Amino acid sequence: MTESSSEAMEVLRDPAATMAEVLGALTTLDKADHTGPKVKLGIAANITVDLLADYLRRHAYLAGVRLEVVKGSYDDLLNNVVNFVEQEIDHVLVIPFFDNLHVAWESQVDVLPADARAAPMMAWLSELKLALDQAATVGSVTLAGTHLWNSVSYGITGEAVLEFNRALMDLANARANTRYFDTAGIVLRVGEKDAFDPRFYYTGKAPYAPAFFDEFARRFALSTRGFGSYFYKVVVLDCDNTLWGGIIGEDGLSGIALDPYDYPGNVYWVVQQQLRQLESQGILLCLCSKNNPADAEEVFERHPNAVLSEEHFAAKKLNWDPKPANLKALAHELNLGLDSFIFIDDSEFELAAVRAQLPQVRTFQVPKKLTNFPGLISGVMEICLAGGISSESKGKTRQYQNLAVAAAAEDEFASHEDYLRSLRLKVRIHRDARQHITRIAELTQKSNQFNLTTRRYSPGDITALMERPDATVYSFEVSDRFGDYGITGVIVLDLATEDAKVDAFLMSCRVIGRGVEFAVWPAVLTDLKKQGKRGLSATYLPSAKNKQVSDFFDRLGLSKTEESHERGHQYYAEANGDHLKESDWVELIDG
Amino acid sequence: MVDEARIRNIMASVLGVDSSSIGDDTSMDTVPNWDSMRQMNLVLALEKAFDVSFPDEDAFNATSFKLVSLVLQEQLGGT
Repeated sequence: MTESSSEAMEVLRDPAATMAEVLGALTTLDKADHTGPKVKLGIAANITVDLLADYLRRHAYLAGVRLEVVKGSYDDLLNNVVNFVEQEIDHVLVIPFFDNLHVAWESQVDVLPADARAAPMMAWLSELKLALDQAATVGSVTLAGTHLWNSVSYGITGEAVLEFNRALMDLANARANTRYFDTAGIVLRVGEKDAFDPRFYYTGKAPYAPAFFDEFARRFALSTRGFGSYFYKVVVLDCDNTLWGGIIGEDGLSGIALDPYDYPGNVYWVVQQQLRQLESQGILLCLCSKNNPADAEEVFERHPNAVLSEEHFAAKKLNWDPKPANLKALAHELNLGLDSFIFIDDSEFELAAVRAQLPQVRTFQVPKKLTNFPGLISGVMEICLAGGISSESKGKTRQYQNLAVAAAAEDEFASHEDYLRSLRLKVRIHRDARQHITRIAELTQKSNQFNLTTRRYSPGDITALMERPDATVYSFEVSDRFGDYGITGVIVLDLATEDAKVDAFLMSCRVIGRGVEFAVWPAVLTDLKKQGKRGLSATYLPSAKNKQVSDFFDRLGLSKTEESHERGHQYYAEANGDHLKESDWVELIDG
Repeated sequence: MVDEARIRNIMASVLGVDSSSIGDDTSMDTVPNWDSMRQMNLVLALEKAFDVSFPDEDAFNATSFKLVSLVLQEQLGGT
């Protein structure tokens, strides 16, 4: 990065930077080369929100993304969305301003009879419905909620706002690619005085001031997880002076601070509650602490006020080894990249070691001012959970725990295959399963290591593929005697030509190494023969992270036909002739 | 005296032009980028930078470098 670019990034990072400084920094960065992802966003609003584009671009750059914003024409929702779809936009952002749903709407709602009150809102919602149908193939759609802008006491007008927002939420919930985005909280956070500017509302239909847009953009970046560029999945915790006050090895079970009714124990107790919530949302908790294992484990098993217990942790490293080595071991055990890790410790020494050796791990220090600790964890929760997690992700800890148990049991069998047979693996294979659209898209977005082409699909893309008669989206559900692993793999097959083409093949890392990756292909070949296809062509596209599958198609038994820099590695197999590798210990079931 | 160099810098950032191109005769008529949206951004940026508030009429009508400087001078209490 050039010096002027890094200076510009500094400005964007500074929360106190003025608007002029931000705009100047954006101009500098726009002129520089950008190697990271580029995302296109369209905004449709019934007010003027031009400045929001600049603040969205600010927070996009902070997430490493160059954002192009296409502004729709004023209050023209349906046409805007149709245009966005034509321009192949990645995100659509819809912003209704309540007071402008109909002229000065807020000031007249309370005196109107009920049906007259409903009419303009209904009209706007039906237009939105049509627009959302048009946007079914767009990657993601965000519906901004509404709020009052004159601080009248809530009452009938407030009820109308809530009712309108509920309708928006219902529309969002009914669509895999659409989410609701709260704005009333932004007004609360920023304060009405700084959020609005009546001068420009009454003259130019531009009600919002920069402070509102900045907070809006910050939250929007969070809720889309950096415009779809990163995910945190694991929170690794130190024990002493992080999960409780004091040192268990010295102070003993009765000496550590974890009393919900007394400072400082109450702070640690709240933190444990927050972490438990995080775990229930599908984030994996791990321990990485320099303790005698028995000491730390005693707290989780026997302390009367312990909120967290053994079952909440996906994996543990309680030993005296350096923490960077332990974090690496955890990543290996869980089959996840270290860039999906957050590490929390009270010791500056430990944090410095991790930052120096594993810069991809996001680190947080327990604040010196202990009462700020729950606030810090709220921030961690925000970056982990923003954007929501599909219900499939809940209970993940159980699955990863099983993985750890399975890893420990592996040694006892005579051969690896014996062990695999003992697992009683089952794979249920689904074709174009609409009930899995959200999860399938999530997998294509999150999987990096076992991903042959690293193509990212939005729920809209998946829907479109499922609708095509000459394409099939396979999703497979894996289970074994330890538990159910849910939807853990996806194949996207293009059947438009004489040879079927594998556009995507990816699996969640939690089920790799057991033959599932080979077991699913007989089902695909059977489908091909039925459809009279000549053969199967496949591609491996190297990425920074998918080296482990560089020879996957070789191992599967396909022949390599080409290896080029631009097109990746090309493979081919005949539908009738070639015999692919099997894993007969896996039971394949048609879903 | 109000800091004219600072005004020029802010105008340059908001209007997307070079600060050296901004002089006494710069106005909405001479800068193609300067539309009503940019006018709003400019007023908001100047208000923040100089910690003042433009009266309604001035916010819409201060559409040249000279007028902007004049409003700021008034608001800052100088002459």
